[in-house]
Amino acid sequence: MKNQTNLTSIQLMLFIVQTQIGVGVLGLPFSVFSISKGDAWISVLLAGIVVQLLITIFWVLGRRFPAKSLFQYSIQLVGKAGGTFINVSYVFYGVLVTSLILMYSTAIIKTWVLTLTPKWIIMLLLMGTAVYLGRELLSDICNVYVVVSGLIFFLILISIVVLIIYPVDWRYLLPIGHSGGTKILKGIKEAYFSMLGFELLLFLFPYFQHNGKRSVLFSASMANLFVTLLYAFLTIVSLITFSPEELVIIPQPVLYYVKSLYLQIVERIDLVFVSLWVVSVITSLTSYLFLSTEGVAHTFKRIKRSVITIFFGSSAFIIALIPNKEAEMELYNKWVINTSYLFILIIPFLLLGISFIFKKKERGKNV
Amino acid sequence: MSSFNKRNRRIPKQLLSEKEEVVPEYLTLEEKISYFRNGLFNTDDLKIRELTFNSKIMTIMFIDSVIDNRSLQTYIIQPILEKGSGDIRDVVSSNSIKETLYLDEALSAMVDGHCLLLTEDSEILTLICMPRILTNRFEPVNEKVIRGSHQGFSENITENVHLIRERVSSPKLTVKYSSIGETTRTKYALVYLSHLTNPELLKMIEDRINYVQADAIQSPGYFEEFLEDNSYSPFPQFLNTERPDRVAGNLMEGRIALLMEGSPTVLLLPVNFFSFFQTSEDYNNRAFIGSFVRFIRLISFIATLCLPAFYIAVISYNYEIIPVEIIFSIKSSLEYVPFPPLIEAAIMQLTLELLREAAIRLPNPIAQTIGVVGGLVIGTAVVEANLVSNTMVIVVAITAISSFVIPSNELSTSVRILGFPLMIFAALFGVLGIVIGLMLLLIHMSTLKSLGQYYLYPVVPLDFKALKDTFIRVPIWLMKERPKDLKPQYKWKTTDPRGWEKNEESD
Repeated sequence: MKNQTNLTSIQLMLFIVQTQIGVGVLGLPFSVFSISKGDAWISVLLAGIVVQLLITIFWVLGRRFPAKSLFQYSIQLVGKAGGTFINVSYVFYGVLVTSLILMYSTAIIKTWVLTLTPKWIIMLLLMGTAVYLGRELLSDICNVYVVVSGLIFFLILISIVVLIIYPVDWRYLLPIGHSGGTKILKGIKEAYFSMLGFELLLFLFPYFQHNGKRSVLFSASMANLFVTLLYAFLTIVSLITFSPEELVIIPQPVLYYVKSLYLQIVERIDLVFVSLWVVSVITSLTSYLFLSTEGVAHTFKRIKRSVITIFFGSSAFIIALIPNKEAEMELYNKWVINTSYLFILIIPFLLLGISFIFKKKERGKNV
Repeated sequence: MSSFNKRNRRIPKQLLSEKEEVVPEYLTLEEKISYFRNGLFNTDDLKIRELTFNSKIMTIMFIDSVIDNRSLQTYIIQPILEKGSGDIRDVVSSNSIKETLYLDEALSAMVDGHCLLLTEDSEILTLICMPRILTNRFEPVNEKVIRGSHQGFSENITENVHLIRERVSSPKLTVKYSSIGETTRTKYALVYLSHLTNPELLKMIEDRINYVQADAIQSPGYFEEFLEDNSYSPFPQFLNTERPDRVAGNLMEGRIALLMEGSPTVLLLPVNFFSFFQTSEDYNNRAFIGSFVRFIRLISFIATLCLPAFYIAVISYNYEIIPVEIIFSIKSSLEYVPFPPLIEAAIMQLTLELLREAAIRLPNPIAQTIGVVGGLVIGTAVVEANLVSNTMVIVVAITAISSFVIPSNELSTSVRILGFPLMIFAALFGVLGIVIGLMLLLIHMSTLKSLGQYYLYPVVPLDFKALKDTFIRVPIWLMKERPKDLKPQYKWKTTDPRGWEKNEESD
């Protein structure tokens, strides 16, 4: 789109990667393990395949309207009222996910690093940084994402070190498939929460379409492949480091195995690790804020972008302050995950169906 | 041989425009003059003087920033006016008088210190060698080098242009003089290479200068604040230098230099963050050493920014991070110190800034006393009085030293000041606070632009090719193309300068 033609496919890939990797990465092995036990890694891989299917569908949908994002073609497909409704609901969805991420990350920071600091201060720190980045243009956001992506390799490196110097036991993975098909399939649902973020493809498509439609699919798939493999790797490392009895009681296995690592110069590497992981959380927050901002900025072109971002940032902040107990947070989590099916499965399918039946599509202007 | 062909293919690209025009056909005097004007891209330091000699019009063309104007007056113009007729060789007094028919030869000779005589109705161009402007040779005190040029800019704008012309002896080097400031009428010059610098950049900076309406412009600092993209940013967005070789090097990258009368400081624009870590010496050292030094500088940047903050975070929050053995010794040094680490660090940092500020304006011998009093007396006494712990003194000292490693003075001061908010963040939120602080800084820097160019290039946006001259310095023959952030009109730098290796092997 205007002034943003310098966006590359690597930026798209890292945008999706940074959105997907976030709060879930630390707890993913635990939550998947609690359902599908030793076969958790199979669930993660299967979840990756499901996500890949969804990405392909989003791409097919986006390809029909190459120069527009979902916010624009929804109106074209289901009429003004319906389209506006869909757009508003996506904007809300962005805010809801933002506050969900905020809640969970704050909870983890509070248990691991800043035990005595009030909740709202930590939230303010995270949200403030996310808003500061989120009010910028997409190209600036992408640039920052590319730089901070270096931290992911830090995560991989530490996991590899754990694999090498730890007395790991590969037999915890055996026998493969012992927990049964249904449990593995149920585990997919758990892994899916950490995989959220790929839906941003629906809104990013027009920004990257000048690279070629195929390259958009390729970047998104590569992002998904990378994240799936990374998650599967982390799950395997967690599974073989801790015995099944241990794994039941540690909600953030990744942090636990990092914690037990002993390097000569840094004693408690997990504290540094959590602090760096915050960067991934901030990028995820920013992406969802960007989603909400995009939705409004398209309709009301007169309002400044930063005002919109600040508004949504503070609403997500306030929502995140409401639940007090962990049970309430769990409830909110379940609720958001359930509504996410609506936004990730139902609406895109519906739009795609309408687009196919009524043969509504647009050729992009030859770029 | 193939590499030889390649070289032949590329070089004419630059010279083609002139070579083609040299068809020995009859040109009138006006046409010749306009040829030279265009050949020098209408630079403002091209001067033309018309005389009558042998009852014909004679035009003297010269570049006033290259040759000594007083000699021109006494040895050329005065004799011509006095005698009025005769052979030009007998009239002027100069050690070398050449005649040529080729306009392009005359063009490059003019840049090289000749003045040119054109006569009406004559094909012959007379080139007279002139003495150059004499400049004082002194090294800028704030940018010393061990190996390399020891020449610094003076305070006279013509001399400064001369120093640049000495290093970039090309007719393409264009100088645009102008003056600014209602009352002060300060003379300034924009210097750039016409065939290299991106015209859009040039237009942008000229537009911005046109907006400047001020009563007085007293120093390049005024220009900086009027022209930079974000005036509230702690980072300098234009590079200050007093070294002609640095200016020449940057002009060759496609940058623009802004010179000002009465100031030896030249502004280079646009620059990126990493320009502040490059010195002209890097290219004189071996690539290994150059890379190592570059690396040290970048580490020192990080140390200046984060070290005190990290220490505070470790001491007040996350002491689990450092090994147990060190904790004991730190703890024992902290035992009798009454202040929290933040106050401790602030006291020491402020003392350091006091010493630095006091030492700047004092004459050298007294400044040394300040060093002794400040460094030795205060340093030891403060620890013995238990006002500040031992380790904090070490931390602050390392911070100070590493801040002085950064070659640019403004950047090093900015970074030291940026350390303070980071220290507060660290005191409030520990390591997490530092990460948040650095993240905010990164976001700021990656959205910051200098004259519309990304400040953090080549990291933001990531450009692997340009990293060759950023964190490390690869051998010069590997940098075959210019970085693309400035969008220069051509990218070519070298073509296989070590092509001889192949030939020698085959022998």
